[in-house]
Amino acid sequence: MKFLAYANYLKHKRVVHRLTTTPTSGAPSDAPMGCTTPAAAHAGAVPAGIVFGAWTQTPTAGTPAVVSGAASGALASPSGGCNAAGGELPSHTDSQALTPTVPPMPVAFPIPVSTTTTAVASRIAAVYRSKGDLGRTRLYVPSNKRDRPSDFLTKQHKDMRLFALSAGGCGLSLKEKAEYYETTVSIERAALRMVAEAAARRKKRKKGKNGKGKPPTVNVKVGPLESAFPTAASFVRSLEGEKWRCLAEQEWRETDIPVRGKVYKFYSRDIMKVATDALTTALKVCLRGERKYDKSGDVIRTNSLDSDVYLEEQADVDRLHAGKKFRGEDLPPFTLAIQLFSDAALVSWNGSKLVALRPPRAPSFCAFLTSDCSHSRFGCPLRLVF
Amino acid sequence: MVYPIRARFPNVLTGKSEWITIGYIPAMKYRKSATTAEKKAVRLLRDELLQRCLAVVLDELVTASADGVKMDLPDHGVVWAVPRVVLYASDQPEERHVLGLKLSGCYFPCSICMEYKTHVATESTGARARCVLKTLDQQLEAAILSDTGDRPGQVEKLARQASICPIVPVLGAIHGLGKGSLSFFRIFGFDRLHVR
Repeated sequence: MKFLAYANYLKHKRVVHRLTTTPTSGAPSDAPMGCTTPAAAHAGAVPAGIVFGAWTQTPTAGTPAVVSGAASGALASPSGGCNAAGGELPSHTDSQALTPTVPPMPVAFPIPVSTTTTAVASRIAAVYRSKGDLGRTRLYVPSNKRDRPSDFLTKQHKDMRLFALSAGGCGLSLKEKAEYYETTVSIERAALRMVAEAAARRKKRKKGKNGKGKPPTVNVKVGPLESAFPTAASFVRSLEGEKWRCLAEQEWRETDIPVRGKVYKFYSRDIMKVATDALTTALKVCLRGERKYDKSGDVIRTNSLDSDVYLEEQADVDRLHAGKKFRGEDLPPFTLAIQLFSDAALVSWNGSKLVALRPPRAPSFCAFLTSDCSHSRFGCPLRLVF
Repeated sequence: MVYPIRARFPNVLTGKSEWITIGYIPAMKYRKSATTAEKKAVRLLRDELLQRCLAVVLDELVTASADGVKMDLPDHGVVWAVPRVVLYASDQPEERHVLGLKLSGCYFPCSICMEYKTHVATESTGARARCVLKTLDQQLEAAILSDTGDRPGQVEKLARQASICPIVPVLGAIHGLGKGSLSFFRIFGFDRLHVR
């Protein structure tokens, strides 16, 4: 069969595909349809005859293409073999009665991959672990700089440290740090001198023989900053040490990643440690999300924890991890939602002028996903996170 | 030159509920007078580097998303936390990079469905959803063939069939994305705060 345009061919394939997969229409749209090759379809523990039978029962199965496929011993659909998850195929009662005889598959038949869900994910993990990048990962801070005790003990010192290391985003320069110290110390000295002078004035003068007495001595004390850091250089040096200490506490790592003969440095933290730290130090934590409805029965979305994706994951986690025990007590599972964001590129502006955004039902700054993909006049599918 | 990758945990209501930097990915730019072929090579290199950086930073998550981890939370006691990625906030070009799909010059420019390129500006014709496992499988095959330098024709064929690059997206190894509920193509979106 020839098609004038490729789009017509695709439409034909789509119609054929829809008709053949109608019995499994209850499956979700993104259900795994994982047979890459006819051989893989056959390897999925499904009787090949049923597959063939299903094809012969469909109204479009009588096309010459299908017949030729059957004649040539094709074991899956001519549309690329997109079947249900794990090789689960349409159950057709009549088709079993009409199952034709399929020649047995030769032993040496090439089966490239087994497209089960576990296999693909495990293979991806194995591919990246085989690169050896984790083996080249080490802590960024050298051990001699890791366990140095902090000189910034009081709250005021810590506030100064925060300002010096974070002002303007990347902190003050060396010269600015020294100037910051000098300014603060001069203010501290002036304040302490005023305090000392006031204290001296309050003191009762001891009258001498002539009745005038000796003028009181002004005893200016050394302030907390100057006592901790006698010079500007010591302050700047301590801040450098603090940088190392902070990086060591957060366990920043350094990885050498060789790609096509060139080595790139990648700095990272372990995401699970970050998550554990965030959760254990949080004042308020919500462990479960639930679907919310308004009075008219419409779904209300207010934050990430009532999004479709999170609720589906929560159901999956509950199903897989229910009944965990820890020292004889129930260990309730919960879904720890993780959102990722990279500054690799900001939102692109492609010059389009006909963009019509669908307003959210419940405006919120929290993020959740819409799960639809609709192509409309403005061209590319736009999925917003409200 | 680097750019940060950040994470956020929506379960935390009060506390560290903001974006937390978890890595700095090296950035790569074209040479000013780069040819088209050089640009293509740099794009591939950039994609590979991005995936390998993500692989390092998400390695623990791959295991934990399937098995879970024990956590002792102050108000809730000992709980079993199962991490799942529910959002990758990015724009469309970055989405295509992270998914290992072609950004342009392809037949199927939609990441979610298999709508043909000439149909994306028209009314939807009801194209089928992009199959997560099949796409990942094709990417694996293309990446392995591309690494070994074997069968460039097959790599080209796979790229044409599914609009993929010979790059394996590491997010596919995480439970809930490449297995389980298979939300791989659904987690992408962007925060409306970033929309002008």
